[in-house]
Formats: sequence, C-alpha cells, structure tokens
Amino acid sequence: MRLIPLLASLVCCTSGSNTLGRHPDAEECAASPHPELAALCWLAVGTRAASRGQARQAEEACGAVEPELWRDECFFQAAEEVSMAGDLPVGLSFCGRAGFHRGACQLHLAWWARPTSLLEDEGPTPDRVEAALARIRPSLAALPPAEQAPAEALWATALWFDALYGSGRVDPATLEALPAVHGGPARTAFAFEAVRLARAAGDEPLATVAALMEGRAPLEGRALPRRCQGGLTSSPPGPDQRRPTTPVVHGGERLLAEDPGEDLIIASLEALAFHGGATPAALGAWREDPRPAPRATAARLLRLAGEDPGRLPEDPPWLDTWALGADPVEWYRSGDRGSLLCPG
Amino acid sequence: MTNRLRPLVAALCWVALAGCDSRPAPGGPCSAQPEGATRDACLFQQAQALAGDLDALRAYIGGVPEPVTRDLLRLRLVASSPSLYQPLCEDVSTAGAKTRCRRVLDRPHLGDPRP
Repeated sequence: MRLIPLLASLVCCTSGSNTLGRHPDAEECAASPHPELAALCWLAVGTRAASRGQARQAEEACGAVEPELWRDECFFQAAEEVSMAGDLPVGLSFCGRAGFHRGACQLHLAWWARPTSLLEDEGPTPDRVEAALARIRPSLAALPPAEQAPAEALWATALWFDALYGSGRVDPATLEALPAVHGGPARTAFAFEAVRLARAAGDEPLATVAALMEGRAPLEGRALPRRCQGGLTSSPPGPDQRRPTTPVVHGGERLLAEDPGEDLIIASLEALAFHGGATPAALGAWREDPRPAPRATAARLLRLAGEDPGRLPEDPPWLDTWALGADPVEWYRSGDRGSLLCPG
Repeated sequence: MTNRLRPLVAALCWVALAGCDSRPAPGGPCSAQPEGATRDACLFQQAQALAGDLDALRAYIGGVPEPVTRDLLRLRLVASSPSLYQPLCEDVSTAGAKTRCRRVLDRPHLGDPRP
C-alpha cells in the first residue's frame, strides 16, 4: 500500500498531463509529506492557473511556495504562462515578484509573449512603441537601478522586432528622426526584415539595405507566419563593456554605433548571421572595413560561425575579447527547428 | 612480521580503512529499516551527505531497490537544490518523475548559483 502515496508524490505535481491524468490542487500540496516536493506542487498549481488566465489563483499559489528559490521560479513561470494566455500586464507584474529571476523573466516575456499586443495600432512608430514602453516601465521599477536601462532597451527591441520582422515590409521613413532610445532597436528590427526580404528575393542583402536607404522607397515581399520567424542568435556573455551595445534577439547583443548609417550596417551584418549567412564570402569585405565596429562585428560573427576571422594589425585590442569570447550560438524559437526559417 | 600475522594485519587495516570511509554504502544503514517515512528520511539524509560527489550519489541511489523510492529521492534532492542535483533528473525512470524533471531540465537558470 506504500506504493500509492509514493506514486501520488511523483505524479501529483505536474502542471501538464501525467500518467494518472490528474492535476494537483492546493489541498494535495498542503498535504505533501515532503516540503521539497510541496514546493514543486504549488509551482504546478500556480503555473496551471496562470496558463488559464486565473491571475489571482496563480498569485496565491506562487505566494505559498517555500523556499524562495521555487517561489521566484513559480512567479517566473506564471509570468510566462499568463502572458502567453494574453495578459502581458499581469505577466509583467509577476516578473516583478520573480526575485532572483526577474531579469530572465523580462527577457522571456519580451521575446515570447507577443509584446505587440501592447501597441495600440498596426505598424510601429516611435510614438506607438513609446506608448507601449510606458505600460512596461512600471514593472521595470522592480529591477535594480543598473538593470533598468538595459531592460528598457530589451523591450524596445522586442517591440520593434515583433512589429517589423516577418511583416513583409520595411520603410526607410520608419528610421527617420528616431529618439535615441529607439535608434538601435528600430534599426535592428529594420535590418533583420530587410535582409530577410532581400535574401528571399535572391538579392545581395547588404547592397539591398544600402540601396534602400539611398532610394528611400519601401521594400516589400512575402510576410512570414510567426512560427517561421526564427534564426541563429548569440547569447550572452555580452561584448566588450567599453563599447556601447544594444540588444539583438533573445538575449544577444550587438555593437551600437553613433552614426545611424554605420549602425544599420552593423545591424545588417547581425541579420545576415541570424539567417545563417555569416560566411567568409559575405563578411570578408566587412572584416577590412576602416571602421572598428563593423570590422569587429564581422570578426565576431565569423567566429561564431566557426570561421577564423584572422587578426589585423589595425584591430583595436578589445576586438579579441569580442571575437574570441565563448559565445554560444543558439536558435531563436528553438522549439521547432525544422520550420524555423520556412524557406520559400 | 611472521607469515601467520600478515592476514591479521591486513584484516585490521581493511577494517580501519572501511571504518574511516564515511560515505554511506548503497542502502547503507537505511536498508535495515522498513519502507516508510523514516526510511525515506534516512535515505534523504544519507544522500545529502554525498552532495559533493555526484558519482557516489548516483551509486548510492542506484542501490535503493525500488524504482519509485529512487525517483522520489532524486526529485527531493533536485527540488532541495537544483544547482547541485539537476543532473539527477537525467536518471529518473518513472513517468511522473520524468514529467516533473522536464520542468527542471528545461529551466537551466535553476542551476545558476544564487548570491
């Protein structure tokens, strides 16, 4: 008969379906003979409630979790679930209670929870993105002061990216007269979509971006279903801290140049790598660019692609740190690698 | 030392060495106890004493005869300190434990050391 409570301990606390086809409830969690497993049980109750949009129940369950480690995790997972269920503002408030995981929580929500739901109208403009950021800022106040500006840049990037990437249209007018906080994020999203459209049309991506900025006419092509909006991205550790940077997708970072034209080149090089196009043929010329930032970016992306970027006499010393860092390459939206890029 | 004394000295050395080894043997003193909460607590305590040696911990848990008890032990350890015991999730065999461990393995940040 001992087997029954043991089995119950093992199966009770899953938030998804389990072998017995039932889900834990508060009563079971409170009755758990093992405090360690009670924490997982409450976590399962909290995240399941969150996935159903039951914010109050999720908050109660997560608030009951001991120790702190699992309470933080419960609010983190509940933030993800409730956001995916469509309530991003509640998700943000849960992130504020995720303690040790609050930074990672912001990152996950920014890249997985359709932040464009906060944009009040179709199409991104600085004003609309700014209005959406204003709704996010209160949750950023829970972060330590040093983490607030990076988190804001993260959300600005996610908002621009979510609105532009895969949309099938980029308009150079979008990049005109951008406030400083939106410059890097908007150019990143613009470049990622422009490079995608150019590649789909069989054109040389960086030449296309340059021509686009010169001609000032929009570029249009086929929109992408959201499930196909994936690619390769590098995760932290970030670049040399002496250089200004801006977020790329899912925790990656790129160098940020003061000059908008140079910055768009950097963003386009990153976009090329996102699509698996970081080859010596594509990036070799940029490796010899007179400007340090594009040169360093080309070196880093070649390194990430497993190529040897070489060492040039005029390379600044920080380039080694940037290019040679053990920076793993990951798939953005890696749940279904087979359909990430959805060719054609 | 005469030939007659050698086996005795060897036996004494073995006993002394075995006595000095504080690592619990698989099942260890807990195996003598009947199944139940007291034995679970004993196993958990003994397993925690092996925190720094994952191989020894795995061997210890492997010595527990019942698969469900083994997985319960693994889950309790993982839940008590994911940063220390997350690898144990790779060893679980029961369906319920696998489901729960997936939630831990899918969350690599749980292994991050906390200040």
